[in-house]
Amino acid sequence: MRALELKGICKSFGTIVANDSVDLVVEKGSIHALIGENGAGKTTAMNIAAGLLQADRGEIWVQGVHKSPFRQPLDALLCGIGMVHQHFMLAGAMTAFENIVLGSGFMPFSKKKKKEELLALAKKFGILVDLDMPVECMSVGEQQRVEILKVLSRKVSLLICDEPTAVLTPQEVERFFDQLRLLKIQGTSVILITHKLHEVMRVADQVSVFRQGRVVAHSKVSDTNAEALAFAMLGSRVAPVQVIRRPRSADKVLELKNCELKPGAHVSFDVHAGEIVGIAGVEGNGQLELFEALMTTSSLKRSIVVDDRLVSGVIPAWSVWENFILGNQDTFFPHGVADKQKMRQSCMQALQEYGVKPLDCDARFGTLSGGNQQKVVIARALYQQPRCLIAAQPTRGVDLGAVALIHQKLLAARDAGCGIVLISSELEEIMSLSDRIFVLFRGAFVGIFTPDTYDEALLGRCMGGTH
Amino acid sequence: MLVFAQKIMGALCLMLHAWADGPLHVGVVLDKGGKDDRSFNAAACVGMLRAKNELGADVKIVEAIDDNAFEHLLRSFTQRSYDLIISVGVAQTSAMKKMAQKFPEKHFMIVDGEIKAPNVRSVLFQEQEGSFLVGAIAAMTSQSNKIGFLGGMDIPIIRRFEMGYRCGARFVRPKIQVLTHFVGVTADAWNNPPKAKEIALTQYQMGADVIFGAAGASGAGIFDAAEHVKKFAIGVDSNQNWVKPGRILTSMEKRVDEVVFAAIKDAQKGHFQAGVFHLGLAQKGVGYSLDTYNQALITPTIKKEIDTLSKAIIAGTLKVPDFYVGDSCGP
Amino acid sequence: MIKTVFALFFGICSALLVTLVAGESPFHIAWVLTHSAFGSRYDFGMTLFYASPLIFTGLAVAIPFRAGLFNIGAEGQLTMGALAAALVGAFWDVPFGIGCLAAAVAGGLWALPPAILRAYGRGHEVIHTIMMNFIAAGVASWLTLSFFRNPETQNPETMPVVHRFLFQPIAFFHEAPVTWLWLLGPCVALLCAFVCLSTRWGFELSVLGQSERVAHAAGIALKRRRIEALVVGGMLAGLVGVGEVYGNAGCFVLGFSPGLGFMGIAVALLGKKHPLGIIASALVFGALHKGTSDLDFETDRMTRDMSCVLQAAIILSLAAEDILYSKILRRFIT
Repeated sequence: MRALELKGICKSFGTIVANDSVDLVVEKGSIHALIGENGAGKTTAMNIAAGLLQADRGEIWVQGVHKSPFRQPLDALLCGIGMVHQHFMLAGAMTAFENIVLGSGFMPFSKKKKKEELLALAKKFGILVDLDMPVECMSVGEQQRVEILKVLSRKVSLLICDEPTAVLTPQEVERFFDQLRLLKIQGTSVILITHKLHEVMRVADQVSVFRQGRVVAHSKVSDTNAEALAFAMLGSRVAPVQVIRRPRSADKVLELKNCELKPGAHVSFDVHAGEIVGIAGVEGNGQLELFEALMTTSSLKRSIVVDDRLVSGVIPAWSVWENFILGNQDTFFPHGVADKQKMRQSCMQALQEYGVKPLDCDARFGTLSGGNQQKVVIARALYQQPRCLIAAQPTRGVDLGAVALIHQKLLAARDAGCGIVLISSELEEIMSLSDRIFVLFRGAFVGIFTPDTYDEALLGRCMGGTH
Repeated sequence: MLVFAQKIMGALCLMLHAWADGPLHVGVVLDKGGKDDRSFNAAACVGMLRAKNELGADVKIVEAIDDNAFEHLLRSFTQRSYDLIISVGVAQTSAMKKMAQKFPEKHFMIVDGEIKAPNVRSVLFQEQEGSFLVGAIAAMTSQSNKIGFLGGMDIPIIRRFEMGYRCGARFVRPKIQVLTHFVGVTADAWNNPPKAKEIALTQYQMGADVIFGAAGASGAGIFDAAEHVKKFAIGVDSNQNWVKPGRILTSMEKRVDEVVFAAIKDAQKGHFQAGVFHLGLAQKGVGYSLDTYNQALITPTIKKEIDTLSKAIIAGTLKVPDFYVGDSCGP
Repeated sequence: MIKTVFALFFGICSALLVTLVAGESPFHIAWVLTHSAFGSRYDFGMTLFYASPLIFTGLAVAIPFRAGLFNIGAEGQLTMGALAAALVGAFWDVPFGIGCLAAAVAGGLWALPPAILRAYGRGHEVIHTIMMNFIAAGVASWLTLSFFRNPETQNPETMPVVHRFLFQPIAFFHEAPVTWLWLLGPCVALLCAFVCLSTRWGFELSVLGQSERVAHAAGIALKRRRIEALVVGGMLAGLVGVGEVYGNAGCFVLGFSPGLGFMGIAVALLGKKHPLGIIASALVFGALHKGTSDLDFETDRMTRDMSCVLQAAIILSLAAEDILYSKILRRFIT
């Protein structure tokens, strides 16, 4: 029995072809992974399946029945298809409960009953969530759980998750996979859009590979491996990033003394020119506070690659080149007047160098895929060849090819003498790039590591506070 | 065809003649505050409507949207061949002066303003004389020895009212206290009854038992306050005794309606008189109102005293201090 | 832009339909409005005359709005600007430019307290700027009547400025008070356009208006820019004084403004924050203002208050322009 079948789905945005006759079959009760580079079309295809977009051509079949094209998410929900998005669609000021019932035709006088229903549902799938907490006070992982519960409460039989583990800590990832397995047992089908091949190997039953708008490969997970999948995704091999350790210089570019991140917990550290300092840790242990503290030391000439870029780094409604000059005003406004030619030229150059698709300075920034957006943000930060760079989650939501590029650029900056603070929840990334690692736990540094002492298990224990 | 053309021409001539020979065409441009202020502008309208009904004049009443529109409206009247064009309020002085110069064959009239021109009739009222009388009435009626004055804005003409009022009160009761306040500092002070009510209530609370309001349409608020605390108020410009019967002690009438009507009547007879006219008690331009609504409140004693004062002012033996010429009557 | 024009059209039509209730013909009213605004050289001159201060107040609202600030204090700022222009022109023997500068500085200073409060505290500039309007009216009234009153007239106004400060009306417009000073408005608007679109300052203001966090991350000095934006707004409103005092009345007349500061909000809304759009928008509102001033004359039942109805209808339509566009206009186009 097929939970979902897409036949010949086509979708274009102006001249850009996002889906070029996509054929996809998802078996009932399976966990089906969709992988592919950013811009390959997987999110678009799933948005069509979930009713957010309408295909130009093609058919959607749900549980063996041909459905007329979904005009709005409600139509898909009525067919039992629900989606948890990469960028959460939650109203920050409202509580979890309010967000879950929003738009579901909920009547106020049945509040108590509804709450009990939701708590039961949450328990069934092993989801821990505080229904009365305002969403903006929650951690990202908790917010995601609210999103999942929101979709589950609409009684879906097919759950689509877009890059769900991008925002989770290692423990939360495990919990999430357990929830998926529970769902599977209960008969719900799951589609997982992800770029993390090792996770695909761990939890998925089936995998389909998207490239340039079509499904180019399909396989049972048991029949394949990460390398083969990567090859199918990119059409070529990805060269691993070569990291050469250098002795660091004596120049300090940044110094933080006795900064209080959490009550009673202080940190101090310094960054030298030409080194990458990695801050490892499970999200919620003071990374945000550290980031804020670093951001306010404006006496230094530093550049920032910000965390949740949609909140604090870019203006999606503006064009790419306008976002590119943000933060670089000194260079682009000589004597206070705009040098428009220089702006566009530099922007174009950066787009080319970083392989941003589409190669259009005037495109609305918000229409770029997540990975491409991040490329622009990094290009912008590195443009001024800063002495110090603070990179928080630089490769979150970014596809494989782009990750490699970004790592390359960071290393190049380091080699050119830049001191980099790398805050990341991807332990692999930290280990591969950093010259020193500080582990952050409950607002204090509980471990300092140098390359010869890097050990995943050891670091993991430090992050969990059990060392 | 020719006959047809002749008929058309004939009709046109008749129409023109009708316009020319027929009723007098009178236009009036009101002061800021609009025709519904129940006092100043309203009085002018009363005069106009009376002329329409009794004299059969063709009247047109317009309000200006702002200071700069005065000239334009006056000009429009002249261009449409109105015979008599009236401006109400001192703010239009410079605009009318200009138009009078430009159109010497037209007749103009201005109320409260002074223009010396052969085709302009300026009518100014001796507000201080009327205010003097109502001040005396207020002082004699007051039992707390405290009375109040609430003006619209602190501008010269309102100061004139206030000074007359204060002097009149002091004249009959030298120790009396007069509280003076103004509704506001912007044009909307002339049409802000709620605020006027608040200030009046405060004055009543401070001990005043009679308040003389000179604040245009805001006066309605003062009357509300008087009713609320069961004390007295005095109306202005028109006879406002009827608004809250029993609570309005009297009204300081400024007979704008009379002068407007008289001017139209004269113009219709062809006796338009230019010049500057100061109308006070003697010419019955100002006065205090006495009718069925306040008869019981004005005791014979008060009436006798007021009559004496009135005669003295008219005879010239009693000079009422005038703010315009820089007089004063003490603090 | 087509959305905005359609919304404007829709607003005007709605207001005209209201006149049906009063028993008038909307077509007649529309004719009166157009004829009164553009029918003769004098009429057109008056339209321009009304539009000129609206360019300044429109800019005074639009520029701070680019930085996300609401300047509702243009009325008080222009009052102080006009008063300053009048006093400098009457009592000080200085070049004409100083008079203009005084007007701008007075307006700017008037916007400074709310600006500082907003930048450093939690006060909302809407409340503070409105309060400053009242204080301005009071201060202007007190200064005019107690110290600087013109003794030759009972009208509450200041002493006249010296003759060389005065500009004469251009004969072309048949005595409408349009002088060459009128050009100051469009020139300042063009200058503002340049500053907003091509300078670092203008860019940083726009970023601030989009998102405070992004601005902070981009290294923009939030407090400073906010203060500067409001003060510049105040200065622009203050410049209204130049046209009013040196190009029209020759002195400061208490209450001369028919709500120019508030009309500036409507002008800024229609002009879409863009300085050149402001010029066009000011002309539209100037025409409407002039047009409605004749309604009393040409009709039996309509009065000048129609101006407020029109303005309100336009503002509401502009606020709803997205819905109007998608629900109504698009159906006709596609």
